[in-house]
Amino acid sequence: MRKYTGKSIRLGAAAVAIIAALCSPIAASAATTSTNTTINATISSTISMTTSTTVAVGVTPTASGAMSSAFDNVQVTTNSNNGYVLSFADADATTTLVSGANSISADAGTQASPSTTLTNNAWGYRVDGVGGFGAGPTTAETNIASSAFKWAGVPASASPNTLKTTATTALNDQTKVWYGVKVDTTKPSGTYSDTVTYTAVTNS
Amino acid sequence: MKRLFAALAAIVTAVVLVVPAGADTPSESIAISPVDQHISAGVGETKTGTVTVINDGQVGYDARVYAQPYSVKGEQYEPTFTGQNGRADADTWLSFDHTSLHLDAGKSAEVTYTLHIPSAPAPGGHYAVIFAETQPAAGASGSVVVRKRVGSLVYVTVTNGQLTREGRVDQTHIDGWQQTLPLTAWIRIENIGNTDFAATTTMTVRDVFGSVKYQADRTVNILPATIRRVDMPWDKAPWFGLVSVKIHATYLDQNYDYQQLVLIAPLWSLVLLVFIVLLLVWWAVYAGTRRAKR
Repeated sequence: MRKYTGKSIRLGAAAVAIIAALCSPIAASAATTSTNTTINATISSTISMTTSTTVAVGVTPTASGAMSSAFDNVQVTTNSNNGYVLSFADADATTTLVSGANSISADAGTQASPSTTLTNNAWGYRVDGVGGFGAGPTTAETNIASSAFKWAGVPASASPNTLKTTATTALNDQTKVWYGVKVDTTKPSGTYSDTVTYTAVTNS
Repeated sequence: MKRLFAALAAIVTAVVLVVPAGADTPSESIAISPVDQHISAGVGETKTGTVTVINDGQVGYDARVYAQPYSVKGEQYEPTFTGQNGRADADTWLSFDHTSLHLDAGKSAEVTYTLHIPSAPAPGGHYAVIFAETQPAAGASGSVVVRKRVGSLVYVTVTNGQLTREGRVDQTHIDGWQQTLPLTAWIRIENIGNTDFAATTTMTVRDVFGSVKYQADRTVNILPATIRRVDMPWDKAPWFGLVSVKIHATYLDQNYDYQQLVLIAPLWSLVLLVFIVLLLVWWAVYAGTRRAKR
């Protein structure tokens, strides 16, 4: 068995002391700088709407009348837990499609009681499953004699129609708004147009 | 060669047929944040705030920022933005640092509004909406030209004078037998004060063993002198079962609870059940009679 002298014991003790001294500041700083940080993220509420800029409906009229339809895809996104309300109306009190001095009147049907088919020289809208329009699904109609679907006139700006009400967050929630135009050959050719406004607000 | 032309014709025809009937113009998108804000102020006081208008679409456009009155119609709270009536008058108190802006795709703009309370409004709630609205490009044509607007509702409380915050539950409704989905329950809360308050409603559905099968809550604002019906549907309820439905409402400093046992069963399932029971009764009687004859 090896014998340790007093000198070697002192050397060993010194080495242990040095190592301890080197390590101790690390341990001390770790112990004294430990803190908790609370991260708060505030997420603002937002609502957005995406649609096309114009909807083109092309009709080649006949003497007895022909109709065509096309749709606009209205998409709403909101992170509000209360969902949203989407409504829609003409941009002003004049609900006719206008081309210079000529016009095409709005259909007499309403959202609650739409016309069973578009009348001649009239235009209208429909949304599947809303009001009295019926479930659909609506399909595009092009230059046909009579529409298979029900239509209503676009309401004036003062009396908008509600298209959808939701009660939860929405991501690109789609509402297809169909527009139909029926004309006979008494209407002069041209681009007849009108402006509509979609409105989306939170349902809070 | 004929086959090649035929193939080309077929491809062209197929392409024409699959072109969607929807609008063929690029989509544009507009967003506003926040979706609502609550402001308390005294008579003659001026407050400022901001709304952010965001173009999160792929095309640039001009937009307009403006205020309109905000009120609601019916217990379903259909929003109305025309006609300054009663408390829907705070739009006239709002002004903006700019009302016209151009937003390129992916850009946003902050609009600062100033709310100045006039000298003699009625104490309590007054309401408006701040709209951000896209403007059609110059020369835009087509059968239907589209504008879209998104709104930030503004709830103003004028603090001078007598503020009354008072409400009550007007009615609660849960059908004991529900034949079709979704399972529905609703509560009507009436505001009988002169300023709006928030109400939180919770629907909890438990099975016969007490386990929670569904829970959802919703916090809504109730405007003065209105009744709001809050619908609480459970879309994914089972088509058959016996559950306990509880509605809990919290508003101002009040709590309200209503509970109802609900049988979810379509009519045909009950007819079938009755038929099976009658069949079993008939079989038991028949079997008993035969046994007695032996």
